[in-house]
Amino acid sequence: MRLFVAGMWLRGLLAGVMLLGLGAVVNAHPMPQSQVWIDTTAEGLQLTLRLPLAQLEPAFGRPLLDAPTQVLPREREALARYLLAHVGVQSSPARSPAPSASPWRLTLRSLHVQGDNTLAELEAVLEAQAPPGGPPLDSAWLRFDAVNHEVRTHRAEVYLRNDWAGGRVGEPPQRLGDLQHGTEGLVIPLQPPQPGAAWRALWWQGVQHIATGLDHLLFLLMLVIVAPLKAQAGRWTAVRGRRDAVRRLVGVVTAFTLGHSVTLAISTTGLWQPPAQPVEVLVALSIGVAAVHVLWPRWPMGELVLAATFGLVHGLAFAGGLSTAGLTPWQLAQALLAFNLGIETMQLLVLVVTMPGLLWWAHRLPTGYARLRVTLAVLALVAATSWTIDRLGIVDPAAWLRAGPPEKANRALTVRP
Amino acid sequence: MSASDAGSYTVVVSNSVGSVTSSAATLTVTTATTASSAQSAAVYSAATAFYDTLSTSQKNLVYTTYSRSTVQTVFDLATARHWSNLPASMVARNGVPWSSLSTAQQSAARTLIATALGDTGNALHVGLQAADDYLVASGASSSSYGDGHYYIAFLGTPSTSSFWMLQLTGHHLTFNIAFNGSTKTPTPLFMGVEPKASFTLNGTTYDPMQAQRVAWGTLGAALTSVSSAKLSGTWSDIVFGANGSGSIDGTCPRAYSTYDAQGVAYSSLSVTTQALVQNVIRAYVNTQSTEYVDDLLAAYLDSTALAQTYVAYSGDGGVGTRNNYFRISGPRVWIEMSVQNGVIFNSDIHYHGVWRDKTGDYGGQCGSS
Repeated sequence: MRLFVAGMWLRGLLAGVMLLGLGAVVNAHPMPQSQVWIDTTAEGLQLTLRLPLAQLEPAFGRPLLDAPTQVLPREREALARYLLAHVGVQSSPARSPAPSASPWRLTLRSLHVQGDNTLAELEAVLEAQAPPGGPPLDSAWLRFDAVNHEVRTHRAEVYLRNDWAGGRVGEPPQRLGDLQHGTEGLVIPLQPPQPGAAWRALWWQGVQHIATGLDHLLFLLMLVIVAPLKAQAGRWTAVRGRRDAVRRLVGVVTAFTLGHSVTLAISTTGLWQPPAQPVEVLVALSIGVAAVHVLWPRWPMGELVLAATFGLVHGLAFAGGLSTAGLTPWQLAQALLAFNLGIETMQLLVLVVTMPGLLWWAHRLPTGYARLRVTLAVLALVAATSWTIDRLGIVDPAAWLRAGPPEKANRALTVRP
Repeated sequence: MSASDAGSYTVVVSNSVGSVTSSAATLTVTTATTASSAQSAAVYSAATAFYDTLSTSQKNLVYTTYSRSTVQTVFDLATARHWSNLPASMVARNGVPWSSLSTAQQSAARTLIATALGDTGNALHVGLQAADDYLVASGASSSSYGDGHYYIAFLGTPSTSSFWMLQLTGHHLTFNIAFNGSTKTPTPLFMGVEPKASFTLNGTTYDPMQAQRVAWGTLGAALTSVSSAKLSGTWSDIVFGANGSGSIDGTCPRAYSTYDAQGVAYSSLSVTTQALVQNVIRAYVNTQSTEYVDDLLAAYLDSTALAQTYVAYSGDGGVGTRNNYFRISGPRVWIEMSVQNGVIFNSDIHYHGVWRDKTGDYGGQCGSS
């Protein structure tokens, strides 16, 4: 089981590392197509558009590329009018491409230009408000022919990012299709609203994040294993009473929860988002430090301090498991809470399963317990070291994967006529 | 099966009761594969010679699919489609990378490429690799650009009689040279270049796409006086480039019919302009070996084919302005070129182009719709 989880976790990490690498390269090359992301709101839909200026320019009909930084000062009004004329949402009660005649009220929320050279892109956020008393939101028709009305070789990729009421949230965007010249819209397939669907989805993502995150589990185990013990002069010398041990444990878990909740909130709200790699390295180091403490308890109240400080680090890592792009502030606050509750649920479950056994063992067989403690700490130290090396990029896992397992590929092949 | 298998056949069923003979059925054999090909034999022997210079792991790489985990010796269209106009660091390629080859191995590879393409095509391959090196010399990342990121792949096993494909692919070049298939074709053939024209690298001056650029420019200038040749709308890229899901080549067959009869009919052009159209076709076809050139020009420049050929452009007709676009479309030939923004020299332009054969792409395994 542990191996299986480790495998899943490693694969996830490697995929993440490679995705980060790819992202960096993609940014260096223009993506000639546009993108439309759809999110649901309480009143209707939010549309986020990304249009390359090089593609928009011939359709807009006035120069944009010669000075991307001057685009908004010069053309904000005209661009707003252009977008409102070429983008729309209509109710489509029958799930068919025939748009009904009830256009939604469309408001341009923001307009930005990203980049200052010919690869620059226009980013626009629009809000579509469903007509009051109109048909339910569970299927709407997106009309979009910006750029496409003119540029015959252009495509706009349309993604559904969040469907809060339908319970689709925090997942990778779902590609609804491509729009191009001659295809000017598509049906947005929203799920029928279900009360609490988004909460359930996010809670479950929190649960899974811990369940498949071997590093977080290992850190937690390092804190938990010494909870029944007392330290003196750098050695674990005595076993606490059951009640004392449980109190200690609650303290440690609370400190960890406080720590990671603070940084999870800071990171997901976008206040501070450190790059993923150093965070992952710190997470690996935290396991090593905790393991050293399990072997030689140098610091008084060590577990509490460790739990709180490294909780801050783990919270930043948790934020990587929660994708919140496109959520409204109110949705974001709920998402944070639901995801965190999922994390706590899994954490509690781990404690409930392991703690009684550990307590029993610590009291009945203190020598055996010491051996278990040392073994687990050494294992954790080894894992932490290898993760640290891995995450520092000293060994490039992507290159290692690309090369493939040589034994498997090593088949003799002959060229024959 | 061969032509000698043609004739009349009956089925005889015998058991303990007796025997029954079916009525005769006639089997005719049409030889779809091209007749014995000296080119196929020459490339087979160059491919074998190249292969023999490789280490065991490199030998696997030649047959390795883009995923880098599967070694595959049987032709597979889905694998063959895995090429792109993006650098190999963004869209992984099939085959062995140039960077992994020693000088001696590169020399064997060069012999293989020169044998497969002839001098003109080989110079184009060398020039496009140099163009990528020039991008690196001008500040582009060497982890994405440069001659090392060009690949040689065998799709199927080299043979003098059964179908296989030599795929040469890299950032701005992909050739899919089919052997022993129903057509002698190197398509889909992607050809683009940045920097746009002549450049000097390590004392050598290159202008890899000069022939195509000049041919289009001359034709474009002539077309500006033919109003029906101009397409409506803006064409900012080629239509049938590598724009399938994942930025690889799309699925077969292509919807060529959507673009039928767009532009001006070849037959309504002046004799002078007709010659310029033929020049463009030759500029692309001439990047191949003589045997393939003869076969393809016979098909593309056949009078019946030319009578169904159309020429179109968009923009100002020149090769120097962004969003200019050109196309030649016949019953088999499809050639497009697009003038677009530079990526590394992003205040300049660069070119993307594709040559497809509507019935002969991937050796005829990707028919038209």
